[in-house]
Amino acid sequence: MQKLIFTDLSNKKLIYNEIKKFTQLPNIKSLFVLAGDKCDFKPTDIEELFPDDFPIFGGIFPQIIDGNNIYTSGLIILGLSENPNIQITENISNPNLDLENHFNDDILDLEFKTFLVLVDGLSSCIGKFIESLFNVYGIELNFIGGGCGSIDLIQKPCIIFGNKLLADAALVVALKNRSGIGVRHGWETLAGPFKVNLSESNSILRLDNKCCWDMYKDIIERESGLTIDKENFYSIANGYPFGITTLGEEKIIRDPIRLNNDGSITCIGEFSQNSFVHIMKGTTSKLIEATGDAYLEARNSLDMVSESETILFIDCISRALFLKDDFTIEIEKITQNKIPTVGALTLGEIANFGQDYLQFYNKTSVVGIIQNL
Amino acid sequence: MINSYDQIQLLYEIALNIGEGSNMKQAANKALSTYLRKLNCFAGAIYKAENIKDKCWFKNITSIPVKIERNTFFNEIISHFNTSPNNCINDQIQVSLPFTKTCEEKTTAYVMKLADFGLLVMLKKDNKLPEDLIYALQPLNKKLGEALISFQIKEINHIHSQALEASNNAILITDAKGNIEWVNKAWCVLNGYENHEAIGLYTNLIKSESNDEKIFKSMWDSLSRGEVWHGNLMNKRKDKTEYNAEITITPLVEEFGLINHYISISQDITSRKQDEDALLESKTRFEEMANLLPQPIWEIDLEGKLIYANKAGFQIFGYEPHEVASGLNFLKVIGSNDRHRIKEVFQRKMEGSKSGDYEYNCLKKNGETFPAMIFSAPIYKKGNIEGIRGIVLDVTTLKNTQERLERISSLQDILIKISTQYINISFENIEYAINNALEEIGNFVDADRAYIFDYDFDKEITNNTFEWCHDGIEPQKDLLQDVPLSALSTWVESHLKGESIHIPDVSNLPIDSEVRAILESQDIKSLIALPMYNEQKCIGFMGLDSVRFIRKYTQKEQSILEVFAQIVVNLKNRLQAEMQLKIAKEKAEKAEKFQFNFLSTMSHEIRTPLNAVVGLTNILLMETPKPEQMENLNTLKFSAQNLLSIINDILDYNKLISGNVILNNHDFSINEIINGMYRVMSNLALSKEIDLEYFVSEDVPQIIIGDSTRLLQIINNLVSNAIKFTAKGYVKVSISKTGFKNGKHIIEFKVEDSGIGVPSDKFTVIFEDFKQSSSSTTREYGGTGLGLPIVKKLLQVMDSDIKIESEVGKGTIFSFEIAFEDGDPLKIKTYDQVVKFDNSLEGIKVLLVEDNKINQVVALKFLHEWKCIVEIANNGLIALEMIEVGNYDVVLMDLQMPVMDGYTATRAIRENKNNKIKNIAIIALSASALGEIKTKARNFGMNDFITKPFNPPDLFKALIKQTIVRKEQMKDFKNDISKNL
Repeated sequence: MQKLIFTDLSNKKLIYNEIKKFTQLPNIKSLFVLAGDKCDFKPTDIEELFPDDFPIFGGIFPQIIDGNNIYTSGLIILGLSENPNIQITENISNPNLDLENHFNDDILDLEFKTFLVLVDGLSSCIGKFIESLFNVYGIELNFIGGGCGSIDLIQKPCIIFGNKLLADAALVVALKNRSGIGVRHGWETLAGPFKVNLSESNSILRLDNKCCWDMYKDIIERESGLTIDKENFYSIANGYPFGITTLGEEKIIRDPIRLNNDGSITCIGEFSQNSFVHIMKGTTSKLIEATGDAYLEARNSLDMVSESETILFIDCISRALFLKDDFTIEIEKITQNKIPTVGALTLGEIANFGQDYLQFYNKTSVVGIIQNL
Repeated sequence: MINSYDQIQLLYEIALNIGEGSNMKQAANKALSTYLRKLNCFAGAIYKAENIKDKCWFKNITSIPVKIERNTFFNEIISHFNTSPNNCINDQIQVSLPFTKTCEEKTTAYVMKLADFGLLVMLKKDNKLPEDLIYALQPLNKKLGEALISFQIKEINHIHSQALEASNNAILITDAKGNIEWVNKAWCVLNGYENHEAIGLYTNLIKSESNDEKIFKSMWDSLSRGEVWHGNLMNKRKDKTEYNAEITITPLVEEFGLINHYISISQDITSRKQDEDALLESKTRFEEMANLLPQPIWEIDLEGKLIYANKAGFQIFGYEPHEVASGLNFLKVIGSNDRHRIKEVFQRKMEGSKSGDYEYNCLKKNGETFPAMIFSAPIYKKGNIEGIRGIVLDVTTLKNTQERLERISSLQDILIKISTQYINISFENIEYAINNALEEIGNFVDADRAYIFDYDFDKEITNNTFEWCHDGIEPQKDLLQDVPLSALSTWVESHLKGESIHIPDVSNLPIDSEVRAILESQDIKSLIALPMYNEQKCIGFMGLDSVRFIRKYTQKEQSILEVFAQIVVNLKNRLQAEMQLKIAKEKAEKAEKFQFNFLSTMSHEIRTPLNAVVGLTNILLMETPKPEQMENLNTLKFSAQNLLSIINDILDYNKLISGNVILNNHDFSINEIINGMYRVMSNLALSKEIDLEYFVSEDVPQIIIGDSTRLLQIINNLVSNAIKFTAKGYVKVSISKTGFKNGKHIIEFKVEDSGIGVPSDKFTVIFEDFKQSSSSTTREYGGTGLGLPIVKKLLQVMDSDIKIESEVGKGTIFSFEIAFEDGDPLKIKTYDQVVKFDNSLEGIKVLLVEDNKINQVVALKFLHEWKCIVEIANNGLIALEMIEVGNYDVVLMDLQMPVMDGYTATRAIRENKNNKIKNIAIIALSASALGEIKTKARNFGMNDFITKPFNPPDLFKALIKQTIVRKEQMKDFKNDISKNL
């Protein structure tokens, strides 16, 4: 894997020239761009930075990872030795979008093995997007990716396609590289199950026939002894996410990010009405251990070890916020394997390892070992 | 970890998602999605059991992912079930359910039954579903199956309901008592009720009183037995209008034989009934009209048997209707000679090929025949040919009329032929033409004799002037001369009234008739005599006799023969006119010859004294006169030359108008022409202090073919004209190429001056004979006014025309274009344009044959000046004597002399036996400038021609040419001969 890293973005012309030179290297066929949200890129910046005649894709994330280093600003540019198939979908929040006909299923015959999926993490209908994606491409393919966007949870352009910067969009990038995927979070059940009586997309309105906030506050305060209110909502709720049960696997976590005036709680990711949720709790050790397990799971799902491997580490920004300084230990759980690692802290994670149902996760570590990238 | 609490929760969540969705497919997909998510399966599908008769197959309703069949293990599992309608078997499922199988890749497939709906298939990796969970799922699966069946029923009901609603037939459902429970849109539209108005009411609502009650009784009898009733009824709409309805009522019978509903399906057949009535009426109308038609209309089947014929169809052929109905073969009405032909035509039409319609000889039952056109076309039924139908058109009358018309048309053709043939016939052949025309018309009308009689009312006789007789018929012409008109008084009387005499049968004339006696004496059986009129005056008649048989002429034939008679009159007129013309022409030719001779004589008579004047003036000028004499002499010379020029113009013009100008085309250089013009005209221009300029454009070809003399004459005329009418300024001549057409260069000649100009209303006048733009012009500038007319006429001879642009007071431009071919530089004749009187002629011995003393003096003066040795003969005879002994180098021979003229003398010289004398050079000296004289002189053997009063350089050149140059040429010729020998 070849990469360029820019932490000083003051001279865009210089960066453009470097990138241009990079694209002219013989074995560079496309660029995968990871940008830190603090860059505060506008669409015009992207036009200035990247050439318009080269396959480029990527996103702006709350933070980006290069080995043990975590950046809130800067650019990590990976040069890929293959020209992937890139599909862009715009206006993904439109519930009437006919996604199943939008995706090109002809590429199923072209020996692609790994799909990188980047979505605007603050779009609605991400669940529908992922479900449609699985419906079209589901069988025997690995998916890895996550939600792009800003930590301040305000939606703005965050998907890089060519030299354009788009909002409310998603990229599906099909690669021929083999990969192993591991998905683990380490969160444990605190209380539940509770029936979701009323939900609207990403928000739970009523839980067990009660106001969601009343129910949630009551349980958190009873189980943890802490007092939670609107002001400290996220700092406490960050440690008590919701969990959706599936058979025989870790629960799927939904991260409560906002308390609304009507008493509903908004999470990253949708809820089905009439589904059951638990309230989860987390400990540093369990979470970090789970990250290690995710690596092992990824490694075990590969038949063999390749001399040229890259770890794409997609971890949730809220785990970093929860783990605080210990987050470096979580990173080291990956980098200790002496495999070049790049990645991003995301707003929701997307993964399917081998033959699982493709899901949109929160607060979860996703480890992808990609060979010969 | 799996625990039963989680399982219950999962089962509960799955159960809550069953039945969600708006249709069966969506509900199946949503349920499958929940199953897979909650049970952590990575793929799945739902199949619906379909029954065809007693056999079963499974139809895929939904799959997640859509392309689940890309998983080979899934395909292996699904192969246990019949998923194609082509492979359905009696047993629905070959394995017991729930069916579980795990492959090497640790994927487990689960196949579960969804009640009577079908199958649920799921694939799960690694961790298997617990056994107790699989069984716990069965009630949910059943519930899902039932929910999907319920959706299916709803959808089918919906489809049925939509089908009934969308039907164009009016549908009504009642309960067992006849109360309306449901009606569709078509029923509401047909009857005029809103849906809600009809529901709950009794069916009597639409019953009409005009129906026979017996129909209802029969209807209820059938329905009460549980049978379907079908019939027609009058129904009544909400607005009380009625319509004819075709109705089917079906009783719906319960398990125990009780009727619980009736379904009525009806449609308004009022329009259909009307159509049927209209069709019947149309059919009757056709039958009646077909029977009214006088032409037979018929139809035959593929075997040729008549299947239909109108009344005329059997009447015209004499058959009875029953004979036609019993399958009469159509060929029986066709004559035996034409049967094969019509059979072939019908065969082609029955095969769908194209074939024309022809005339046949038709055969009646009684054996009579008649000609008829048979028009036919194949009968198509549902795209197949099932026979032929057609019409028979009796053409007997048509053919007779046609024959008559053709005969008249032929007669007209002959008249046209005769008219056109003889219109341009030569005078000598006119008599022959009249005889020929009589033969043609006689043969055509099958007459035995055709003739013309001229009436001479002064002498009261008539003469047979032209006659043609059929072979074997005795001519009568010689016997019928000077016949008294009194013998044909009745005929003459009729002819004078413009009436023809037509005796169809002479034997019908009265026995004592004089005419009958005359006619019978000539064996004439029939006769027609048509008057001939010239300028409303009867001049005779044309007659046609029939000797061999009786011949009756129709009115139409008579009319046409009258036209023929008129043509003959025209021919006779032309004969007369041509004779008059011939006489007139001879007179005119004599007059023209007289004019020519007159001009020739006049030319000679005027030139002879002029010769003396000019010649003596030249001599006096050479003898160094005093200055005051010099001026007078110059005036004298100018006047004489001017007079000469006027004579030349008149002669030239005379030739032009009599068409005697023949162009002498040869190769020449345009530059030489323009130089020649300049040499001649520059002195004239200089004398008036006018600039004479010329310009030849570079693209003008150097050498061209044309009549250079005439071209120079035209240019000189225009230039002299321009100089004449220009007081100051310039005269410019320009020559340029304006195009190339048909292999010829189009050259434009332009003469421009800054003279007095010509008013635009005089542009035409100045080219007319003896005209100038005004009489004052003539007074001021003199001239004959023939210059420009000569130019115009010469240009016309050269296929060109003169153009003029002019502005009074500013000047005039004359221009013209002539097409010239490229010339050959090697063929150019070169002339010594500048003659220098040197001593070249010194010692040349000249015999001057001239009767006029003054002319002798003038000639001697110059000849002596050129140091020639000169002897004089006063006439041709003396000259002949002198030549015998004189050893002259050249003879100057006057043409008109007493005793012996120049022509006779020349002929005698050329006939002399002495070669030297015979070949002596003779130069004609003549006061006549006519071309004819020149030609005549050349024909008599003279070598050259000089007009008197002679121009000394011309005479000098001619002498050089005929003596020194000739000798050199002879010398070269002899050398060449000796070399070749």
